[in-house]
Amino acid sequence: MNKLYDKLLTILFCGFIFIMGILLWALPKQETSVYEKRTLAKMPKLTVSSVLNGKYEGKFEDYINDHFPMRNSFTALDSYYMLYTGRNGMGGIYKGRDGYLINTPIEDREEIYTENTRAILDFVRSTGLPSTMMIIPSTGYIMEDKLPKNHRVYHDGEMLDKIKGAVCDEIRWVEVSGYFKELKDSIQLYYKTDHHYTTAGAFEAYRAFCVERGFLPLEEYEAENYEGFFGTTYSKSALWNEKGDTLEVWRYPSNATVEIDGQLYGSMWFDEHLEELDKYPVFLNGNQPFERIENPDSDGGSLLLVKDSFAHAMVPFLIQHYSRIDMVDLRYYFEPVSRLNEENGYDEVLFVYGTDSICAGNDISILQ
Amino acid sequence: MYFSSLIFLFVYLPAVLMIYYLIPSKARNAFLLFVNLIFYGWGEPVFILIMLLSVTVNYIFGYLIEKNRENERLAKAFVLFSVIISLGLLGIFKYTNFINGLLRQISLFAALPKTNIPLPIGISFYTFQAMSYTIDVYRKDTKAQKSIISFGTYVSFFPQLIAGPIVRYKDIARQLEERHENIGQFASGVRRFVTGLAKKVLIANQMGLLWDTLRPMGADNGVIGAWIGIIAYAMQIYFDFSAYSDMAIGLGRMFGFEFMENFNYPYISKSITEFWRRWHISLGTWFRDYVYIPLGGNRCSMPRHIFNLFVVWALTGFWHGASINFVLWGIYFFVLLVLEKFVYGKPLAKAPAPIQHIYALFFIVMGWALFYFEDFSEMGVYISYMFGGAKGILGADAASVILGYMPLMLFSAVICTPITQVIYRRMKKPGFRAAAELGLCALLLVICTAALVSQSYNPFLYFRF
Repeated sequence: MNKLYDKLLTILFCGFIFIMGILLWALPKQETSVYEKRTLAKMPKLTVSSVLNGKYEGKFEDYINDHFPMRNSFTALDSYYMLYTGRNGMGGIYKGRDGYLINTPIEDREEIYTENTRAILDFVRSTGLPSTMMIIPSTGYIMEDKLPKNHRVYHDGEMLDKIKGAVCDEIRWVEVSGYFKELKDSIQLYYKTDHHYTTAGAFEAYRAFCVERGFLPLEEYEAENYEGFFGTTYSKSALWNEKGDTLEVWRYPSNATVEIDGQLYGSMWFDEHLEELDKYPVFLNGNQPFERIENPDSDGGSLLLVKDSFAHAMVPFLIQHYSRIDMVDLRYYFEPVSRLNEENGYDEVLFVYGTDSICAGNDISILQ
Repeated sequence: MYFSSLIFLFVYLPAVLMIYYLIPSKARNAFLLFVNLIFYGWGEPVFILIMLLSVTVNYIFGYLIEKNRENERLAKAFVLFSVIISLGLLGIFKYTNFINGLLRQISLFAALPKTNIPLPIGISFYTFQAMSYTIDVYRKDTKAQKSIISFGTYVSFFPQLIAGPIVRYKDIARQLEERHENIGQFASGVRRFVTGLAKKVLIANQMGLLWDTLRPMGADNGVIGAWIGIIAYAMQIYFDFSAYSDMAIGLGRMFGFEFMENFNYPYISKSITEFWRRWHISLGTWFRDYVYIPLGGNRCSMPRHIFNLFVVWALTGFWHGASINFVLWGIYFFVLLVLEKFVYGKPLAKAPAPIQHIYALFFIVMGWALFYFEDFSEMGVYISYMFGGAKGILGADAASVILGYMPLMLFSAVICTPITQVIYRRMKKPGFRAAAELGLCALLLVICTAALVSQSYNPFLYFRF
């Protein structure tokens, strides 16, 4: 009797490791991982020197890890296991109420944002450009009632107050946090499956900007809905059973053109991205080092926009008031921005960032 | 290579098992030696040379000692030589950086160049194994191994190569020559291996994460947060280390070997003396048999006895790592053990059981604080947090994190006791027991695999299109 069970146990164990091992080699391999947005490791070339210096072994292991059978399902199993054993948010994403997947709070590290604001202030002083700044608070800070009961504290309020205090004498500050807190129950300001604000949220931020800047906001547009939006927080959570969100594109007739890498496009909306899981790049084709948007129908000035991806959903509204917007993303643009200003003679500069970029990122500090 | 990796579980292990059982018994040791070296050299092939050096030197000395056994002085010289070479290898690769660093602080030696010798994994373990061989041959506790292949298989055997148990040659000398792999032993190996894998992947790694999350929050943790942090570390180190021994014992059985037990529920100890009988048993017996007893053990004057204990514990500490704090950690236990032996051992044994447990756990956990921090100012700061120096009782963020880990912590605390063993033995119906076991084994394998796969899942969210 016991022998039979011993056999079964042996078959179970050996069966599992053998079958997975065989599948590892037999299954067709993917080149990229959609959820991770990266290319997967390739089988390294076997050479004597790469084995001896250990590089082959490391890359071989990467290959095994990246092409493990049912990799996405196993990852999800681990995420759900963590979630249901109490560790919601330990992987960086909270599964909140009503389908919200929300980034966990960043640490309040004053030295980082002091350095970033210093770089911004130096830039504003040396160029002498009229400047405006708007910081979009994180989802967790605004949508606190959507967070799980047990969550860490979001410090956006204190951090943004400190930044505002440091810059507001020299830079026009657009207050977004307070405005969003008032609106959060009547409008869906943030996506459930992505860390960005929704198009409606972007529009409200734009309205707040218009009030400060004395513009009359755009009024006529047509909202189109695109379902099945699975953005960054969804990918990061690996909770594949969660529902997708709806992404809205608010279109209006426009002659604006977009220039990326010397190539000219006739629309600010890059519809091919609406076919993808992560649809946010529909706005201005996602992250680019430098992008130029020109609006022949406007007699407004030219704007230098130093930003992260939060700006993308807002630019289609902003461009109403400018003849040209040059967008610079300091994560990928490493030339001195002041030279751009010398060449183009901008009328003003706008800084648009999410809290996470300005409070936890090191990219802004290179601004000069 | 590590056991808790996809490449080991799903490439190396199935391949090695399959070939091992396909080839004739006679070829199995040679095959094991070959795959041991692949396992050991994976990622750092240079270390294979050190391994081969250690194997060859000790093999030759074992042979020489036995051949000259009649000539006491010659045999003694050979065993001394072999021990010096083994300790020399260990000294060069494990302690040079540390000793050189100390010397450089003295102005006379300040001109010494900085050294950066990488530590070959497992060297502390296999050097001790190799030493036990020549010493045992010298003591006539065992015969010298004739085949260098069998001897190499023993020294480099991959299941216990990286983290023990420290298997003594005489304990498996017979198994090297003739072992009878069978399904019962294999299945018990599977049980043991899966238990170890789950302890490592599902508990130790998570406790490590908790410790790494709490520690940087420093004073913000509050006093309770600081305590939970170090308790998480205590859990991590126990589950990590004992998991490796479980996996080693389990893998050994799959190939027909029986290793000694290395851990016996150390955290249920009622005294530090008991703790060290239950913690890392193979190291404790090694030091007992090769250092403590040769020094005279306890059959001598009291001062000499205390000196012997001091030597053993200072060395035990130093064995754990080339840093002052490990030596202190060893001496810390020396002091506690001496106090228990000569001062309060008897009244402690009469105290109510909960008091004994609290006493033992308190000093064990404090010991881990000594063990963890190589930097004394960091250590001092952390210990001050534990005794009121932190901000408040429990910080908000710490509370949130701890609450999340609480189910696992409580579960792990239960696993630290033999209670599951008791339940297992009480399951009278063999059918039920087997079904539970099969189900649990399948479940743990799948969840462990999921956890390992998920480690490689790295979303790159700010990809440039």
